[in-house]
Amino acid sequence: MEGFAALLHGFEVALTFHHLALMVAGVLIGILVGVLPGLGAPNGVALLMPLTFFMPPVSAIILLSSMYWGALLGGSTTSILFNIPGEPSSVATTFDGHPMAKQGKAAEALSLAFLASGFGALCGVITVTVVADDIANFALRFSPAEYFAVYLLAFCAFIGMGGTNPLKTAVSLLVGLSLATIGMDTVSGEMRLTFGQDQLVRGISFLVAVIGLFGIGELLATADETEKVEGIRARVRLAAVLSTLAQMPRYTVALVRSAAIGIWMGLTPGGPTAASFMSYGVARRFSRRRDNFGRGEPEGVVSPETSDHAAGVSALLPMLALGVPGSATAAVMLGGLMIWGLQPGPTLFQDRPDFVWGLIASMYVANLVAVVLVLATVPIFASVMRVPFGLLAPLIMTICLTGAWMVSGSGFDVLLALGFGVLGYLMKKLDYPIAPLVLAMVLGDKAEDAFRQSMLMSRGDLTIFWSNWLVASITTLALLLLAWPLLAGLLRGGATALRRPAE
Amino acid sequence: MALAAAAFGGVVIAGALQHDVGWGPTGPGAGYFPLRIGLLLVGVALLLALTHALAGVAGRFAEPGAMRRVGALLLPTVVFGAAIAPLGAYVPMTLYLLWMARVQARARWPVALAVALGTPAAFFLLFETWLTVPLAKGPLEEALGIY
Repeated sequence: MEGFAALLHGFEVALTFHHLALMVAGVLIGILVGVLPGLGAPNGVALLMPLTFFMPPVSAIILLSSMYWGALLGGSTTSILFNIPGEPSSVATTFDGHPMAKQGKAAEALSLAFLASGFGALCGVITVTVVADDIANFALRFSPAEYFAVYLLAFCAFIGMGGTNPLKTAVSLLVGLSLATIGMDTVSGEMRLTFGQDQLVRGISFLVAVIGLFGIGELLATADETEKVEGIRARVRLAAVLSTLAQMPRYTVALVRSAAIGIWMGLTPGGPTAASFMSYGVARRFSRRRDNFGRGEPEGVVSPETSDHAAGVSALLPMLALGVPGSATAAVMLGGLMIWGLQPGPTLFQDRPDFVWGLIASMYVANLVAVVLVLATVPIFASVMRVPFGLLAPLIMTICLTGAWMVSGSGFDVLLALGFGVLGYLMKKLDYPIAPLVLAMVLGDKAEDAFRQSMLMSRGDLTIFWSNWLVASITTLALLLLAWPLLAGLLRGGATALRRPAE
Repeated sequence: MALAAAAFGGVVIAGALQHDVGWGPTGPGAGYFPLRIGLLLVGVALLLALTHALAGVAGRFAEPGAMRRVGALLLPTVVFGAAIAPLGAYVPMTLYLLWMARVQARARWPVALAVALGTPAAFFLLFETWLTVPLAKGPLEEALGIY
């Protein structure tokens, strides 16, 4: 019951007036960020980050995580009403959410999405509460070799399970790792890859990169598209919410299954985007109303939304306990943790229980706050989407550039953010995933340190990564995931080869 | 794009070679890790370029109108970004928003002026007064004595 007492203490931390106000503010900013094109959860967290430097870390993480929940919900709103996913993880919600809205069932679709999100988040946070201490204790046994193996696992999981072309994911990841090495080497103090430029000595801030890649890049990509925004007006009444709530038990199977998928994808670094797609795919495969999917099937809204939130919530646990973020947003928060002077990892649970359990308790409260707030404010935020893009884009650009300036007060960072913006636009156009690049930038230094320390321990012998059962199984799993696209291709090829003679 | 990534990998290798890429007194040298990352990047990117070449996909990147729209948004923003350091955040911000609202979005004068003047004012109140985070200052702010 140790965990329960810690959780109660966490509620004491989270339920102060100051923190409740921060949750409301965070959720509202988050919904706005989720609704606006070009501002997503990772980018919003990066923009708010400089403002949290003068807050205590608990308040800062509560503000940022609340914003994340708000952004996830805001993203679903635009998916359903405008057929424009505000977040990559709510793309799957457009498949059935928008058709439902077009059939005049917008209020029902929204309530379904929000309630399913709430359920997913609740399952995620309960899982986090139950397993947090075990994972932290488990991770206490880690030496640098195990840490490097875990980082390797995170990278390989992206390549093997990411869903996009594995080679493109690898390129994105390796570019991120290269960018992470820029600046002063932490071991020898040498200047690396600066080519004599003083500006690069500090290295490239991942915050600037995130603002550029996700914010500016996204705006440029939106400007590229000609599609006219045609929204559906919706007002969510309490009666509609209650009647939807009464229908929820009908989707029990979908809810539980999707929550399980989401939690799994959040704990292993698959991320909410992969989770929502996988959950949608599974739901369509096993549903009795399979033909109705894509034409406004409620189960097609419930499934991705539940997974999306379950994954988003549970992605914070590996970030805290292992220092390995399960999503792009968690990666940005991880970077924030280090800036606030906290060392993510199992020792965080011993040194700063108020921080860890305050955050976990706040996830219960903030998700509840978020679902209530989003139901109440949908019409207001939906009206933001009616502002012409030509006016909205320069305003968001201004926010992005100001945010890039605030990271360290340097004009070079602003230009760097613009450069990353162009890169982000090109990557988006050519189907290169952006999240691996950010993950690699945040983890690059830590992965390199862990690697060098292990090499030092073993005097350059690579077999240290197979020296005991723990590190051996993680490394082997990582390499298996890396090889997964090849293996899957071979299996499929084999299957078609076997089938062909029979025809 | 794949070739550009390969070229970037080449830069990383060149940078890494300026350092100790082998075994130093403190374990693997400073260039050890970047060199291997760079080599991997070049390898993967070339492989990607090869698969593209073999598949023979030369689809159009974007229709011409799209590039013009992107440029219309990007170029003024770059000018604005470059002007922040020498001129301060507020003056370029006002001019940029005025230009974008009036010329690009073809908003009416009252709307354009409201956006262009209201945003910097709101930023000033939010960041400098409430959150006490200073934004970039230039000659105009200095002349007015706002510091």
